Amino acid sequence: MNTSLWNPLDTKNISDPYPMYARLRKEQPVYKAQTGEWIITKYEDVKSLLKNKDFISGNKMDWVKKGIEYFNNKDLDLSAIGEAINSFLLFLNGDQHLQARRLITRAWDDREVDDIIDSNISHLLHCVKGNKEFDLIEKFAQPLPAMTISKIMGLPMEDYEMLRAQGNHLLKVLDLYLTLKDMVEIERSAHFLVDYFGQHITRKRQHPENDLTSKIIKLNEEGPQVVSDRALTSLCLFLFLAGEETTVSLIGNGMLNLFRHQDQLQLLTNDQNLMAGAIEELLRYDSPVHVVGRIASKNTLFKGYEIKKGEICTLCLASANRDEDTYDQAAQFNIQRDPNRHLAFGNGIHFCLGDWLAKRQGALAFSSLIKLNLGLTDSTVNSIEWNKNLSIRSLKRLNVKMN
Amino acid sequence: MDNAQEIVTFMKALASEELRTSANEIDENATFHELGFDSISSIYLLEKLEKKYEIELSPLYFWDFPTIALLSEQVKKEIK
Repeated sequence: MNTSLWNPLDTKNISDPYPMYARLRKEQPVYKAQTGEWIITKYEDVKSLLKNKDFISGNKMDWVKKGIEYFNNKDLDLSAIGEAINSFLLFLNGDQHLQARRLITRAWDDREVDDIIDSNISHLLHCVKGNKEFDLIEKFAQPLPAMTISKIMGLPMEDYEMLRAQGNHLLKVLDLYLTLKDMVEIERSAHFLVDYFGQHITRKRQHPENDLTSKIIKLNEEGPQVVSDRALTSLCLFLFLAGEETTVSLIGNGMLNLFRHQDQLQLLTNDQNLMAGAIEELLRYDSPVHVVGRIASKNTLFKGYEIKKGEICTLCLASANRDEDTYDQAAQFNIQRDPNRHLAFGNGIHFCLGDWLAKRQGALAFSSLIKLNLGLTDSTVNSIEWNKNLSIRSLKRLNVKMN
Repeated sequence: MDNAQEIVTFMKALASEELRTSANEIDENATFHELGFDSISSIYLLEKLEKKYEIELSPLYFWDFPTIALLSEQVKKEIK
């Protein structure tokens, strides 16, 4: 009989992991799971490990490298996965991390982004105009971030849907526990995307335009240190993917939580000045990214527990954000909560680079959606289905009706 | 229908091939970790079981049922 407190793949925990988190916080906030990893669920602990330089990123990258070698010996080539993710910011440490981060922040331009998002929202809402019911995930939450980042990066607009679907397969690599079937599917998408983004970079190098990819290529060539083309491909792929499923989650989970808390929805509808606070609360209450991993780079005594060098800590951001010792009435959804210093974007040197874009896209999306006076369809109210992905929590579909 | 003993035998054969030891030397009550499996070779082991018995197994079963004896009991339930 399995008596573990950590059962993230159980059907009931996929649909609602918060009771599992609450029990862990109460009984074993630093928990050595059956898998050998440490599960960290309290706010102060998660925050302190995010800031602790002895706990480094990249446990997944190490695991992938070992997996590639292992299956290579069994005549199964998974090497494209390594190519695809070698420069994902969340796996990098030290100078390599700073260098990649600096390159992106120098190339990024906040201006124009509002116009891009607004025009994408208008387009998507125009497409569902006249429909009595539609799936908010498929018709709105999924395409919006893919369209936005495609435009920002200068990708061909006719490809965004296909890239989003391929990217979604690749992102499964972030999940904590995978099967061989998953790995093979991830490999297929990795292979495709590495080729695609490699060609995109070549094209933009030959014909630079006023887009993020062209700017990154130019800044990279100016130095001082130059990132290899291999790393550049992975970095661009990361930029495309990082804001994808996380934003689908913010918009989808966000609308569901607003529907479920009609009083809060009414407050927000009546006063859009509450939007900034509402976004923070949506990020706290049902965070897109539920867990991130760190590896202990040396033996460490943490709250009386000996964490050995090489051991993995799974930091449950979404649990930290519901910690009763940090928040008054942590389980309550309150768009006027203040202060609200949640960990949805992490903390420390790996703090999410895309926080501004996520919040901006969220704010513009929620403003437009609440004006439509939507509601859940009757069949949806009782059958909310979640994707079986532990690292990013998102809905399979969200059928809404125009009231 | 495969009984648990047949599943044990199948897993022991897999383990002996994987760990390059004789199947007789493999203790069905030792943890996979003690036998020499890790989070990567577990994927291979579970895949072989899934294919052989045409079932789907959670990747966490490797740790939730951490010996050949325990996992074979679980596989038997999944077949039913």
